[in-house]
Amino acid sequence: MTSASGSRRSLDTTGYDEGYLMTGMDQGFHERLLGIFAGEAADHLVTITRGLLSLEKSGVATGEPGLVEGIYRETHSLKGAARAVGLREIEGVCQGLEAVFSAMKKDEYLPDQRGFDAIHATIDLLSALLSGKASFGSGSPNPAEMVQVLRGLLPRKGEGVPVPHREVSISVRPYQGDEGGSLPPVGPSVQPAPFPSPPLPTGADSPPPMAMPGEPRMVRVMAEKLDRLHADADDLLAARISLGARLEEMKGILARIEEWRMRAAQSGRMNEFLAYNKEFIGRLHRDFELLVDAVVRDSDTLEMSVGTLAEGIRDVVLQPVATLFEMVPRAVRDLSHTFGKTVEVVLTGGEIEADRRVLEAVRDPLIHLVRNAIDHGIEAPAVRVASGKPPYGTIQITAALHEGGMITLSIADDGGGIDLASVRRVALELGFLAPGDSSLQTDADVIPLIFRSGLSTSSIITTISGRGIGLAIVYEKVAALGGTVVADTEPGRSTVFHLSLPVSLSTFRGLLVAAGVHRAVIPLQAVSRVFLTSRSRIATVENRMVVEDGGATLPLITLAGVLGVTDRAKDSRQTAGEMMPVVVITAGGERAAFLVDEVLGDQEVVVRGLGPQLKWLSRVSGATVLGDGKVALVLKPDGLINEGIRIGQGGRDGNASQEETAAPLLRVLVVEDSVTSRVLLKNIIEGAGFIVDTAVDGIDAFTLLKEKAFDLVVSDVDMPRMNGFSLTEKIRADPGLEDLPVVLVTSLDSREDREHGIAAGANAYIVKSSFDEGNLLEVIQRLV
Amino acid sequence: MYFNTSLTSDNRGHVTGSGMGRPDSGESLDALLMRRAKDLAAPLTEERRSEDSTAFLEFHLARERYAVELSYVSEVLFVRDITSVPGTPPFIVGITGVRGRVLSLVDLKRFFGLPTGGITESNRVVVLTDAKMEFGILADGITGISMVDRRSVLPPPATLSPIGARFIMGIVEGPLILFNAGSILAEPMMVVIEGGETPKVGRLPKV
Repeated sequence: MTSASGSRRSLDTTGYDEGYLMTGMDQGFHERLLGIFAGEAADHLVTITRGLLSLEKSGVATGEPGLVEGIYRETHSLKGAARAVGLREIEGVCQGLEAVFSAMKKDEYLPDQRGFDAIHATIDLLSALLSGKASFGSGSPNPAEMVQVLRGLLPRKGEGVPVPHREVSISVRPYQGDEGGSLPPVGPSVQPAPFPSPPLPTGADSPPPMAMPGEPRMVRVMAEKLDRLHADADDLLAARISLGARLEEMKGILARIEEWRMRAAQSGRMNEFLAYNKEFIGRLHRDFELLVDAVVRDSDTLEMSVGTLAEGIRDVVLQPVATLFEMVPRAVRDLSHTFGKTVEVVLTGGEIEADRRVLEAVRDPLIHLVRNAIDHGIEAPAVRVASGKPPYGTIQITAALHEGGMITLSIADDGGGIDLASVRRVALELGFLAPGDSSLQTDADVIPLIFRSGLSTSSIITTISGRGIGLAIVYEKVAALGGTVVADTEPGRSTVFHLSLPVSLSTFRGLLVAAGVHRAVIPLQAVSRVFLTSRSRIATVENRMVVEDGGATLPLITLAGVLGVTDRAKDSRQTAGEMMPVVVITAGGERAAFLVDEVLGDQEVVVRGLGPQLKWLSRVSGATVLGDGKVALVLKPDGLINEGIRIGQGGRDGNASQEETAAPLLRVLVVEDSVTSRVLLKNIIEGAGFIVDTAVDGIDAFTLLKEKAFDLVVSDVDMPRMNGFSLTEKIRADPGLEDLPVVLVTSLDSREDREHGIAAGANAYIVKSSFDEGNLLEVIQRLV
Repeated sequence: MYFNTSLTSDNRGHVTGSGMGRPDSGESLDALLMRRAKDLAAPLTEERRSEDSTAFLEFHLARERYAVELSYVSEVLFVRDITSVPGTPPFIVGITGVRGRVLSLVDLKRFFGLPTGGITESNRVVVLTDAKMEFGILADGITGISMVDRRSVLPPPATLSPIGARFIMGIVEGPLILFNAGSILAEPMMVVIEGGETPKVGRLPKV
């Protein structure tokens, strides 16, 4: 606050404690103040609306007295705040509103339907003024007119308390024309009578309204600030990584000084300069040692606090679902007016917390579903009564916490349900279903059709079936969050939409690396350093690979080995003396270097659980869906190090200890267009100790065969582009490949096919239906 | 129970069983629906009570026919990509992404120790769900939906090990083996906790 104290020039003398005039303050400060005001005002409006709605529901006369008092005080505070920042229009409107509430407080006025409508309209106007989107053109009253309308509500002096027209109802009433469809005419006939100044609340004896005792204290934080904090915390993580690197450099310098001292001590003769030199270096060495110690301590502290901070920020981002529910009662009220329905809304589970970004993103889908429920789901009161239902419809919105970090949001209405017959018919008309299509016989099969974009954007479905456009968009928005939507309906009775959403987007920064066939993410917090090394810099100590990093000797572990997959590119690279990327991982007080195929960069990833089945794995904490839709594993740093060390000690069953094995591993190419077959074949053959590459069809396979050497090909026959017979023929015709053994694995089990395979030059022909793991491996062993 | 996605048209279900008729029998859709409505509206007699028949999703695995109770099937998917996961037993084929979520995939043949009898190539996955558990099982093909009359179910053969018997409700003539999806989902050995017990499950009968 640069000029805050200086700008407090003159105190307002009208007695509003929270207001003071600001004159001549600098522009920047004023803008900042306006920003703060906008946030505060929005809060006030939300509270006023909430109070109004419950007042409208319970009835002014029967409702608790504190409610009116609370609304009144909120309005008063808003007025004061508006005055403080010089927003005269808002202040004026608040003044008018305050007068109405004041009259209500004193039982001089009981608002009827018309009155409530006018008050809601006033709040809309205030919102519009606040957002700067107010337009006083056609139909919508300007602030001055609105004040007139509000004044028109109140009884003239001398008149008695009017009998309220409004029935006390437990539901939000439908808007009915005969209760006064329009606001009273605004004109000169309404006397602009001066309003009595509202009595000021006398601080001490009036407790703060609305706030429940025991309610947690809340602090308002701008979303942008929070996001910035989030980004800062990430930057801090990056800084921590580079600090680690600096520390390594310092240790390197220390090592060099040590070496100098050793040599100096070895040289026998010593003149005066050298003696001085020795002392000098000795001091330097000691100082540097102290410095390194200090940095190590700082680094440890930083490590800890950055971790806690990042976690804390992630937690701050969580908000109660109540913030999402906030706008629902008002929306229901307006929509039921619009569509002439009577609707009660029941909100449950507001205390459950979820990521602010999730709640924000689901706001529109929620409103859309509520609108649908009121527009198409809930019947008109007369229809409802005729079918034996209560005249008012009920929308139940329920939030519930689920296992695996998901929340469900259910939007249920007790309306007429989805007209599935029409959905079927329209689906047929639009060609989503073929006539006589038997795959969609049950209702459960038909319901998902409502999410089809073609179907739901069709106007036919809107008018016929009762579920409008935009369900496809709801589906998309929820899916984009990593959630799902399902619908269920009971004809004539109810419709429910279940939205399943992640509690947290829990994005974190990770290093994406390639290791064998895997792409995997290493949490950036655990990555101390990434560097390139060459084969010549890798030493073997006691049969274990080690690498020098900044003066320290670290165990070097092949990531692909730790993940139990073969390292596709390794062999060729090692012989070529190419530089290999190494990722240094620190976790659980241990440090190790991991050889990866490629570092694909650091990026923000959204972590998903592995589902309820894969409860706990030592090396994998979750997965993330990459941009191309494929799944990458999110790795556990401590698990990787432990497993790496275990493998290094020879505690693992052979297949990953390739470093020590003298005999080169044989390489098999599996060609198969079906992903399940491919994975199964690959697992079987890999399990027998081969290196397996895969190709999706003959052309893909032939390209790979040209690129590197294989010892055997296992191929499917029936494949797109180039089938197994053609591939075999091509291999036999190629001068470099003619001797390559080919095993055909096929579902084609006729004599002709068998003969065709043999004619093409296949060495073995295995029929899938009689496929046997042992048999395949035996054939492979025999051929190589 | 509802489907997230519908069965695709090339694996359309067909309904068999008492009184339900087959849609591909040539009669018009209207006539079929009408007859079915009549059937359904008919008062329940001792001979034909609705609780006597249950809907099963029928699929084949290794050239043998199996079925799971439809109420445990949340959807049928095609998988495009499978990521293998280190530290999992062999019956876990890997994981796949389904609309942003991660689904683990189970090879029931390996779980039940059926080493022979073909390999899956249809990329089809039947997603089994109950309140607590969810995973996909590989299937060679989806045959359709069958109404199975309880009284036509034969008990699993006595030669079956007690463990194997737990996962089988019975056998219908055909033969069609009815998996007990409920107990497969609830099976503690299906849950993977690395370093924990590795499952040893009795073999299924050769039918």
